[in-house]
Amino acid sequence: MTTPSPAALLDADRVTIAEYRAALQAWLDEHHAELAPRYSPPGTLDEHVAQMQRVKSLLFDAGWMRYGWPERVGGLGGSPMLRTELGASIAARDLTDPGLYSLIEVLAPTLIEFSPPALAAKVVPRLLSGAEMWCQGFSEPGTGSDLSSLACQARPDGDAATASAWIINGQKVWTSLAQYADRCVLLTRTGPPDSRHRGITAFFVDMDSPGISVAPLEMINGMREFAEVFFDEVVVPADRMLGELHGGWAVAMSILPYERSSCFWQRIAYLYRRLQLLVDIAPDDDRTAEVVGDAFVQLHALRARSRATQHRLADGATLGAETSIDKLLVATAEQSIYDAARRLLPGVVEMDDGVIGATWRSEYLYSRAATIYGGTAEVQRNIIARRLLDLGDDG
Amino acid sequence: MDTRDTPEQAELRRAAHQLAGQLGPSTVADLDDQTRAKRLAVAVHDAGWLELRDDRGDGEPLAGGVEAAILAEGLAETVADVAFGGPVLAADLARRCGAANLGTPVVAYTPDLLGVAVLETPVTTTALHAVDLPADGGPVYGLVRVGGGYRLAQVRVDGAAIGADHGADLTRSTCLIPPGATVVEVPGQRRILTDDELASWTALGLALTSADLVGLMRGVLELAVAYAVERRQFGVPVGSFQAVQHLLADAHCLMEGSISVALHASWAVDDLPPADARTAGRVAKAYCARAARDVCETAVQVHGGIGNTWECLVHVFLRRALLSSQWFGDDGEQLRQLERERLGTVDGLP
Ligand SMILES: Cc1cc2nc3c(=O)[nH]c(=O)nc-3n(C[C@H](O)[C@H](O)[C@H](O)COP(=O)(O)OP(=O)(O)OC[C@H]3O[C@@H](n4cnc5c(N)ncnc54)[C@H](O)[C@@H]3O)c2cc1C
Repeated sequence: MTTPSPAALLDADRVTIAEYRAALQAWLDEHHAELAPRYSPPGTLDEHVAQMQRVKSLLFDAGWMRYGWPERVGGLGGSPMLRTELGASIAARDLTDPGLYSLIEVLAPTLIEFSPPALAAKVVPRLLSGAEMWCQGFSEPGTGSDLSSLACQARPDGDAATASAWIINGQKVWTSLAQYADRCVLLTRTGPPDSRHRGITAFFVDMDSPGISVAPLEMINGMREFAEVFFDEVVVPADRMLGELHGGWAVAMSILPYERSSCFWQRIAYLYRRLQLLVDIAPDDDRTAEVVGDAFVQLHALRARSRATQHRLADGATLGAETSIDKLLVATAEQSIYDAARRLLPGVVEMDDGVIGATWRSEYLYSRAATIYGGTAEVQRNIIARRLLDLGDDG
Repeated sequence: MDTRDTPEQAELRRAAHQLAGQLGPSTVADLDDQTRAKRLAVAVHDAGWLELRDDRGDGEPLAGGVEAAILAEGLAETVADVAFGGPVLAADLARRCGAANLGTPVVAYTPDLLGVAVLETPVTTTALHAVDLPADGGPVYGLVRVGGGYRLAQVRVDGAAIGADHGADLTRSTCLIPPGATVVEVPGQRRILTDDELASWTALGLALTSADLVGLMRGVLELAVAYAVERRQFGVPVGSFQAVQHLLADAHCLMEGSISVALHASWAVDDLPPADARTAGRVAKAYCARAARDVCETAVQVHGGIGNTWECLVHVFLRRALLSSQWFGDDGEQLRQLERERLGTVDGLP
């Protein structure tokens, strides 16, 4: 490129969100043709993944993907709200699927906080630039809501204190994008079977390690987005441990703040875009006004809430139980938008096999999972009742 | 009305339950088992269930709306992948026109599925949907307008032009009929279909789709309750959590309400004046459509991550509920029609 990238002109520590947004939008407009998906909609998961990696790579090369990330992992520094703005902007333009993209926010901050600095410096830029994908190996067949019951075992090769490697055996399930992933943030049992959250250790595992096998699972909408992952005597070097031995619970909990702020902001942008697409094709009548209006109000309340959450995070607050509110609001807003589509496009979700019908149907069915993944709605309500309203203990 | 089953109705209910239980799919993989599906179709055909609403000789149907609804419900309870409502509704429409019924017919609907397509000769000008086609697809019926009402018409569908349409429902086949299909009046009709007769036919459509939704609720709730007992988290069955109990209890109430309102609608088909029967159908459909979606979503929710996988049977119920809801109009549509029909709201006024 002959012209200097506009991103390079911004001072990450001083730029305001508004200035960053204006420069970013101008750049995205200018490079629209390069960034636009190469496939015809709705596209396959393979195509969505390839598109995301390509977009990440273009954004990384132009500098945009580096704002809001610390310099020691290849970033340009500045507030994390800059990267949130980026995620939302590309979701709003339908350049990437926010579900796929969200794994960056879910996993990179955790790695930066808990991995040996040299490891983070090596791998985070690879994640940001689209050279790699990572997955999150928490859930197991017997372990969903009760994460502390996980059983996938890691045993030291020798004495735990001095072992140079750990050997992993067990199974994970519903691991999103495991079949594409180069690495996995994995929770394992290192204490006795009944040691609950006190005996869990996190590892950063290369997915091409001998002994790992991945079996994609078909989702409700027919996409193979998640997978079963099997570990058979998988050897992981000790320097791939994230955090302390038996300190995996803290690693798992560290995911919450970014998952429930930046990721939600991206999803909200995506949902606004979906609502707009619906308005574009729904009949212009009173019913549309009522149904769309109702979905819009939910989305707007969620956006206002999420904005406040992000500002609290940026101001240094520790996010906790109150983000269960954000989670419930995002799940219900998402479902209400797809309910609105079903109501306003009679016969389309049910019958139409064309692009419009297939896309809305697939997203409608997937949206039913919004009250499951990332912590079920019932579990969020328990947390709200017990920790925010003080109605009993966590028992 | 007497809400108790007659001995014959109880026997029919038992037979439907038994047949669907034996030959319906019990796993998602079973849906690919063509041999089983064929045996199911043959069994339904041989039982004479597709002819329930054929002319018994005096213009009246062989069996009542209640009997047809009992079968619709029984088949839906196991998401039986066999054509039933589609052919029965087509036969009923032919009977009302006094037309001899040939083969196993289906009806062509408007793309939003709200009702039978009213067509112009000689060719169709908009896309249509045929719903719940039997494997040995017979004639596709629509209506043409004549003085005093409608006549039955056959849509001649060029096999090659039919879209291989699957839609959301994995258990019943639908097909898209592109514009340009030939429309011919069915010969030898003895009656003109009046608006009253059309209302009565619509009442049957509403009753059968409501009954289908009731069956789906019964089946999916049974799965969800069983899973809540079997699945353990935090050392106990998830069904022991009050949050899960309340979800399932609410679903159970919605199902019971649906059973009652749908039974009333199916009784009304033959026993109330057409406009009242249609109103009963609309009320039932408004209730059942909303209830069935809620109940299916509860079942997904109780299943957690598993409920979001293809191999879990729950989504087969949810998908079928989507089609049954929309077929003759979902809850929103019924409320709008009730407002128009009962309160006399004129279309187009603010
Ligand atoms: C689309 C999708 C993507 C996913 N991606 C990933 C991923 O990348 N990595 C990963 O590790 N996991 C992933 N998951 C798994 C997800 O985190 C779990 O599904 C979730 O935590 C729920 O666990 P479960 O499915 O075992 O449900 P269960 O915990 O078995 O819950 C079953 C039912 O019981 C209820 N329940 C459970 N406990 C309680 C309680 N204490 N009080 C009240 N009700 C309760 C639940 O709300 C639910 O209704 C994904 C799931 C989905 C659907």
